Amino acid sequence: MGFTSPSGLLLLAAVPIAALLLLRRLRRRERPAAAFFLLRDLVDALALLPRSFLWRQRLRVALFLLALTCAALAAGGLVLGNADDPPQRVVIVLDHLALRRDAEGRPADWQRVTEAAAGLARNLRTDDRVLVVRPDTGLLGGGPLQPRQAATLIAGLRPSALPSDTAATMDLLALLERIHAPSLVAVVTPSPVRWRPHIADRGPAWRILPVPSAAAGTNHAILDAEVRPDLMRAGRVALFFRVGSLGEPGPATDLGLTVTLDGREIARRSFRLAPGETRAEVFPDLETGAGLLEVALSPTDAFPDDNHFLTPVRERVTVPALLVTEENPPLEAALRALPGLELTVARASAGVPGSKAVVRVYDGVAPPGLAGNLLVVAPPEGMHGIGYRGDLPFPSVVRADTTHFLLQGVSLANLRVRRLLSYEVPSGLEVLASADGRPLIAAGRMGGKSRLVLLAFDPRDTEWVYDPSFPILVANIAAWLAESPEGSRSSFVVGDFLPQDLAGDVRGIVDSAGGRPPAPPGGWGGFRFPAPGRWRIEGRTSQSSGEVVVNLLDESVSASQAPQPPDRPAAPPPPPPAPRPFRAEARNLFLAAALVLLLLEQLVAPPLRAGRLP
Amino acid sequence: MSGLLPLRPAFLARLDAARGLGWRLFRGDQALGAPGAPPEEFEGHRPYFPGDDVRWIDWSLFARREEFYVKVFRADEEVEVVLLLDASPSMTGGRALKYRTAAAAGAALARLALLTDHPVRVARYAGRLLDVAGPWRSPDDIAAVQRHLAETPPRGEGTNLAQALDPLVTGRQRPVSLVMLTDGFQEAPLVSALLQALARGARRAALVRVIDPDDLSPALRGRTVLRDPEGPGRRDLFADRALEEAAHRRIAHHFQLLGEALAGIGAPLHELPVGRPFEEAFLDMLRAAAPAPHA
Repeated sequence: MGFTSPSGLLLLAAVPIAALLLLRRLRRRERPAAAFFLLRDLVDALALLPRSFLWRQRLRVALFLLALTCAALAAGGLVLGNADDPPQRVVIVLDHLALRRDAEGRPADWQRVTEAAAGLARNLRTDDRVLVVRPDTGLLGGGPLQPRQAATLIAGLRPSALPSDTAATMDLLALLERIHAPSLVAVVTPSPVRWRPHIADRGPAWRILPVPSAAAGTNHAILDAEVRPDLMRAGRVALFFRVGSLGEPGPATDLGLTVTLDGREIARRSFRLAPGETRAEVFPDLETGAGLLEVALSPTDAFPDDNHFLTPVRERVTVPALLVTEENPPLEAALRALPGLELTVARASAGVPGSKAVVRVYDGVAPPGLAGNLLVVAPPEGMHGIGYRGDLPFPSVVRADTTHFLLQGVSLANLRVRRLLSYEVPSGLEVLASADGRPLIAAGRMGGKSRLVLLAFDPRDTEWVYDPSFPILVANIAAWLAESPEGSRSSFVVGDFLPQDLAGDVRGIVDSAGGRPPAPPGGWGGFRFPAPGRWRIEGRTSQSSGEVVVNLLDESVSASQAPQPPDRPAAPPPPPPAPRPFRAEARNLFLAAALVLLLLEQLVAPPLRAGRLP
Repeated sequence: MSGLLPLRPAFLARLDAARGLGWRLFRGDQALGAPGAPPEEFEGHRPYFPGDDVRWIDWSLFARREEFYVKVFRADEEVEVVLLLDASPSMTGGRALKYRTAAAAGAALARLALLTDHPVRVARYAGRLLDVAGPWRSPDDIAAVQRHLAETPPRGEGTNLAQALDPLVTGRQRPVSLVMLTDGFQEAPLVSALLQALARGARRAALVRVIDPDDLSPALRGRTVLRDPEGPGRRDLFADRALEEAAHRRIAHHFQLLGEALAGIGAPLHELPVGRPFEEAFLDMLRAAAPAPHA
């Protein structure tokens, strides 16, 4: 029990004082009266107390004091419940897998998720407040809601086809945490694995309430895929896959991986996979040519969206590249090994030649300008926009952002540099790796357009050039520098936004594979691809029109919660959190009680007169 | 309960100066030689004291000597002043303020009586006559009177003036001037008792009513047990404002009737409130009892 207003305690303290005053007034006072013989008759006629006076008067006093107490409690804003348990602010994240649909095409988990979330809201106390967040559309209801309002809101929600934007949701939750300091952030989701990495170190207030997915079964998925035509000769690609079985423990399953190009099978692979296992599959040298490459994992299971992978393969275009160097055999060899590059080598001592090369590599010399995409290796006195600060011999500690796409497949563990050139890196470049706090590898855009990668060491000063990571790093850099502009990008994953340079010219986007409704014009922050498949972008011009492919490739989505064997009934939604002690503001209740008590007090007031006064 | 209200020397001096008023207080208009009254013999002159009735100034002597002298008559007979002090429980209850005020007034009146050559006796009564002391005849006896009045009176129940008067007036050879000091609350008929006493030979009767405002306007509102101080009577009541006002009206009406009845039998009623300083209240009462003569 507690008070919303401290004045309630003062008012309660005043009740005994009022009681004392009242009892003092009603106390029986004995007084001698010299005029007794004069007043005796008067009293006998008019003021003798009835027999019921005493108990009625006591009852009246008790009722009055009770009414006074109720009024004090109402004025103090008494709340019933545990005083040590203050009202909570709860954020309910209403997550569902839009991709998971039942046989009729409806979201399979929607009802379970909303029932669990509404149940959670209904079990809160009336003075708690609830914020409802949907990862696909954002904050609902405009702000904190009463639990009953929140339950009604949740029950009335409709599923959307938009994908869940986990990153944006986490940003929103962090904002709400700063503003409202919630005591509980409950993510109601059929896919706990998607959220677990995000909230793992958030503290005890952040909880996942897993909801069993109705459509889940033993799920096999293509978890990761990479197509590298740049590593191969023209007309050939290398395919890298990671597949997994995400079901409950059980017997291993025979699976097949089929690669087709424009519907024509070009490769097949069979293997067994036990639940919980993942497996890497590589098709190192497939002759493809141009076309739509599709990879299918068979047999089809309850969640087919992660059993397919699509990617367009274009005609090989050779990119002209220029290497300006005095002599750097490891670097030159790594560049010459890349089949997509048509490399021209110029000696630095002969002067920096003019060139129309898309990829330009300057080794030990500063580029004359920022034209084209640049790889600059250890310019001795810096370059335009990058100041040289001196040498650092034998730096020891190497730190790297291994998640960066330029460092994919690259290990810097064996990198030992004899001499590091220390540079002042501008804000447009991102430091991917550093040694002793100095930039080792930096990449980004200079001048707003040119792509630039800076290596702050000479590859000849390290044994690392003999490590497989070196040519991979060079290949990654060259691929990025040779990449065509983003506007021509045609491969996405679920949840990716349509690039802004396309979005402004798009009339509509439809699912060209059929079977799915036209995509909504936009979601939270723009159009996002909600599901895997082929999507046709209808632009105002032929250049802005075209088809893109969207893949899932999200292990957290593929791994759903607690798959149910078909012979077992589906588990009910998880029990809501244990209800906390009842706690409700009782102002109106106590006010009404005070009024009723005062009315009763008047009713039991004993009659005092029996006749008319003289 | 004992002791008199203190009488300071300054008060006694003022009392002595005003002793001329005592004559009128104890003898009434008889001292002026009212028509039908017995003849009085001229005895001589004495110097005028402030407070003496100016009607007794001998103006012819003033014309000759240019000093004030008043005429002194020898009464045809000696009148004894009997001070009847109500010592009933309604007077002596609580802090006995009413009784102590009445006793102080009795001492002051005895002083006036002795200074004006009236023998004094003091009687105390309740439902009956409790004791009688005196007579004292000389001003030298004033201290003895005061000592007697300072003593705690015998305990008595009820108030019945008739029972007390009867032995005081029955068979008396000498005329008696009765001065009763009481609060006036008496269920038995008071006026008829006085009338009976006058019929039996009392020369004069006066009543000094000691007034306690709480007696006239008792606070009754709320729950009260009303107790009779002079008997076993009790009443448990819950009074509101109307009932309280009705009670006050009834008490006031009682004293209005008492005053009218006393006037009817020629017994003056003097009022001495207890709420005021005694000496001031007593002198005011004295002045009201013996108003200045006509010019």
